[in-house]
Amino acid sequence: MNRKEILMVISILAIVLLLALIPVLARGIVSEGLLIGPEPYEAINGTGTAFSWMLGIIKSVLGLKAALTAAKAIPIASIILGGFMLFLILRLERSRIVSLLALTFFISSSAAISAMLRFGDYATHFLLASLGILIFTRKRAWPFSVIPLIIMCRSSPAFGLAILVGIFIFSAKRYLVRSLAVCLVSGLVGISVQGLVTVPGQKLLIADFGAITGVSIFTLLAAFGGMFVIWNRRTTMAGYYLFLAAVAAGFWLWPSEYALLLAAISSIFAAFAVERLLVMKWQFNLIKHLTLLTIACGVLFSLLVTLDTLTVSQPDSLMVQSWLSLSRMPKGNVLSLEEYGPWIRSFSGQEHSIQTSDAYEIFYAVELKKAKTVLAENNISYIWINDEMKNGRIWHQPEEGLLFLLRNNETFNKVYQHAGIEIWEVANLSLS
Amino acid sequence: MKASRIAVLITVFLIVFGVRLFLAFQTPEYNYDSYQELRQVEHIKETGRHISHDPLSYGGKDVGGSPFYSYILAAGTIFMPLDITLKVLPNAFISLLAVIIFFITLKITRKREVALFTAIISGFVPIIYETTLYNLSSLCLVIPLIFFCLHFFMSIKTSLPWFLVCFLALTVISPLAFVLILSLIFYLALAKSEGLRMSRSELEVVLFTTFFGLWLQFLIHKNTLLFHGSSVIWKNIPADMIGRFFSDLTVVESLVSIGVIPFVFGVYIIYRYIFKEKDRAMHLFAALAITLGLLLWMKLILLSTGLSILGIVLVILLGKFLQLFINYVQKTKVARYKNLFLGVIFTVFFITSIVPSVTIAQKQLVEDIPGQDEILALKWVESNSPEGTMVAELEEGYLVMAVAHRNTIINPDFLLTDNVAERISDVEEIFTGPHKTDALSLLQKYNASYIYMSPKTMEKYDIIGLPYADQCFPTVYDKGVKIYKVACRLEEGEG
Repeated sequence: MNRKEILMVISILAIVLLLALIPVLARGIVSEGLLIGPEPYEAINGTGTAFSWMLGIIKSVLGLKAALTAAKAIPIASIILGGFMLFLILRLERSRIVSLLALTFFISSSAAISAMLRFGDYATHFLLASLGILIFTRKRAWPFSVIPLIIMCRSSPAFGLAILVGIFIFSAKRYLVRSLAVCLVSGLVGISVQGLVTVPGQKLLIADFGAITGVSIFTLLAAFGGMFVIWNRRTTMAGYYLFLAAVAAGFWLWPSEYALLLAAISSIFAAFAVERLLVMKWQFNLIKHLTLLTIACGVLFSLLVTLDTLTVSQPDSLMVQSWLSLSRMPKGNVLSLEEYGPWIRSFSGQEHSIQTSDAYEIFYAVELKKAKTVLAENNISYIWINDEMKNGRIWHQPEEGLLFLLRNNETFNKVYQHAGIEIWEVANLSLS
Repeated sequence: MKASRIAVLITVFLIVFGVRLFLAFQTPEYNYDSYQELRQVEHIKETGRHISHDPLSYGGKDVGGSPFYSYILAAGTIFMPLDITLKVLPNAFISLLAVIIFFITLKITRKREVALFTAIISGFVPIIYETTLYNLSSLCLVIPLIFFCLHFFMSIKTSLPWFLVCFLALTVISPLAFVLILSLIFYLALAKSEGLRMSRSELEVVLFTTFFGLWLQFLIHKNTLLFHGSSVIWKNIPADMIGRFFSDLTVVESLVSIGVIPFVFGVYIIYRYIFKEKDRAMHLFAALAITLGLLLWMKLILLSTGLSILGIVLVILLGKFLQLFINYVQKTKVARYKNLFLGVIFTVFFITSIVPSVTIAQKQLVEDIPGQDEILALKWVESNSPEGTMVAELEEGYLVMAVAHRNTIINPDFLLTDNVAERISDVEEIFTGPHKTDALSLLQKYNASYIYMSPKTMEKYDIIGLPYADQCFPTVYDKGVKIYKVACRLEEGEG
C-alpha cells in the first residue's frame, strides 16, 4: 500500500468511526446519555453473560456509578473494535473496498446501533466472536482463539454455536485440523445443551419497519444482489453462503441473539454488490450516480429512523430523577409497570417484586378494600405512576381504577410529583 | 406524427372521456370512500396545505399516505369550480389510458387498426369503471402513469428522461409504484431465464428504480411504516374484515371484471410468449401480468386495484393476439372474412365489456353513492347541532366528516390508529345492542352526542331504528335518515 492509499483507508475508517459515534452523541444530547431499555440495567444486576460479569466486577470494585458508565462504554467500544476486526478479517479477501463497504454497512445497521446503546450483551458477544475469528486466522496464535470463543459460548450458547459453525464452514477446506480443534474445544467447554433452549423473541428484521435490532432494507436488497454477484465465485465463496444460511436459520429461532450476526453477514454480501456497481461499466452515468446516491441515502435513512427511535427511548432523565428521589426514601417494594422494574431496582435501590396478575388487579381495582388486600399480600410500599400509564398504557380515564382510589389520603400519600410522574406511599393497609 | 393519427387519437380520447363524463355527471356526488379526498382538496384549496392531522377522524389522528394527488386536484380548482374539477380531472386522467395504450400496442404490433381497437377497448374495462368512475382515488392517475412508464421503458435508450419523470410522479403519488418495480425485476429474471440478451440500460434502470422507489416510499410513509411495520401492506384492516378487501381471486370474477375478450386472449398470449416464443416487449407485459397475479393470489394488493391494472395489461396482450390473428387469417382461404371475424370479436367485446361497464355505473349510482336524503340530513346536523362526535357506520365515516364536519368513531382510514377492531365492534354494539346502559356506556367512552342512521345502515343491520330508543335517545331528524340525540348520561357508582 502506498502512502496515498494508507491515507485514504485511514480517512474512511475515521468517517466510519464518526458514523458509529453519531447515535451515541445523539442519545447523549437528547437524554443525557442514559442507557436505553431495561437490558443494561438487568445486566448490572444480573449474572450469566460476559457483559454482566464485567459489570458485576466493576460494580463490586468501583460502585454503581462506575458500572453505569461502563455499561455505556463497553458496548460502544465492543462494536467499534468488533467492526474493525471484521474489517481486518475481510482483508483476507484481498479487496479493500469490500472490507470498507462491509464495515460501513455494518456500523450503520440498526442492529449495531442498538447493540451500542442498548444490547450490551450482544455487543460483547460480537467483539469476542470477531476477536476469536481474527486470532484463528493468524499463523501461530490460532490456539489462543479458544479463549474468547469459550467466553462467548458460555455467555451465549446460541450465538457461540453460530460462530463455531461459521468457523468450521469457512476454514474446513484449508485448516481442517485447526478448525476441528477450535470448534470442539470451544463448543464442548462453552456450550451446554440446556443453554441452547431460549425463548424466541420478536422476529423483526427490517429497521425501516421499526425493528431496532434489524438491518436496513437497502442493505438487505444489496445483499441479495451480492449473492448473485459473487455466484460465479461460489466454489471459493461457499463459506459465505453456508454461513448466511446458518445465521438465517439461527435468526429464525433466536432473532434477538442473531440480529447482529445477520447484520454482519448481510453487510458483507451488500459490500460485494456495491463494489460491483462501482466497478461495472454503465451505459447511463447519471443512473449510476443516482443509484449509488440512493443506496447511500437509503442506508442513512434507516440509520436516522433507528436513531429517531432509540434517542427518545426510555428511560429519560425525568424518570431517573424520580427514581433517585425514591432512593432517598425508606426501603420497600415498588408497584409499577413490569418493564420499569430493572430501572427502579438500579436507580432507586428499591425492590420491584410483584406478580403481573396482582399488579393489574391493583391497577384496575374499584374497591379500596380489595386493593388494600392485594397491596398487603405483595408488601407494596410505593406506587410509581407516569403519564404513559395514565394515558392509555394502563388507564384510559382520569379516575379509572387505582387512580380513583388514590384520592383516599388515609391510605395513600403523594410523596413525589414532577412532570407527570407521581410516587405514592402506601401509608395504611389496615382493613378496618 | 401524422395529423391524421393525431386526429384519430384525439377522437378516441374524446369518445372514452365523453362517455365517462356523461356517466359521472349523472350525480353531483361521489362514492362514500371519496369524501376524504374531497376534504383534502377543499382544505388545500382553502389553506394551501393538506390535512396532516385530522381532528375529526377517530377523535383526532395523523393522516398517513401521500398528499400529492390531492394537490394536483386542488391545482385544477384554479381553473374550474371544485365540483367540475373533481368530475373532469380524474376522468381526464384515466381516459389518457386510451392514448398510451394506442402507442404501446402500435409499438408492439405495428398495426394501426389493432392499436386503435385496443385503445377503445381499454376505455371500457368494467373493473376500471367500478374503481374510478365515481371515485376520487389516485388510481385514476396511477394506472396511466404505470403504462406511461412501461411505454418509455420499452425504448429506454431514447426515452430515459421521460421514464424518470413518469416514475418520479408515480412514486410520489402512490405505493403502487412497487407493482411496477416488482414487474420490472420479474421481467429481467424472465428475460434471463429465457436466454434473451439483457440490455445493460434496462438493467441499470431497474436497479435505480428499485432503490429509488423504495427509498422514496420509505421517506413518504415513514410514520406509517414505523407504526405498523410490514403489516402496512394490509392497511391495518382488522383481521375479520381483510377478506372484504383482499379476497381470493377467482376466474369468474376476473372474467366479469376484466371482460371476456381481453381475459381469454390475453391469457393465451401470456402462455404463448412464456412457453413458446421469445419477445422482449411481450415478456415485459407478461411479467407485469404474472406479478399482479401473484400479488393478488398472495393477497398483497387490493383485489379491485390489482384487477384494474391486470385488465389493462390483458387488453395490451389482446392487441398482440389480434395482430397474430389477422396475420394468420390473411394467410388462409377465409382471408376475405377477416372483417367478419373482427366484427364478431367486437360484438362479444361490446356485450361483455361496454354493457357491463354501463351497468356497473348504474349499479354504483344506487349502491355506492350517498342519496340526497343523506346529504340533506348531514347538512341539517352541521347547522342544527353543536360540534362533537357522531356515531356513524364505518363506510359512512368520511361522508359524516366531509358534509357534517363532525368527529367520527370509525371510518375506513385504519392507518395510524389503535384498537380499530374494538371501535368497530363498539359501533356495531351501539346500533344493534339490546341494552340502553351498554350503549350509553359506549357513547360516553367516545363522548358521542348524536347517532346517524342511514337507510344503508338500517339495511345492513336489518333494523328500523335504535332497538333501545326512548326519551334518552330522542329522534331529532327523521326523513328517511334518522338522527338520534344522546340525551342521558350514566353516573359513576362509588366503589
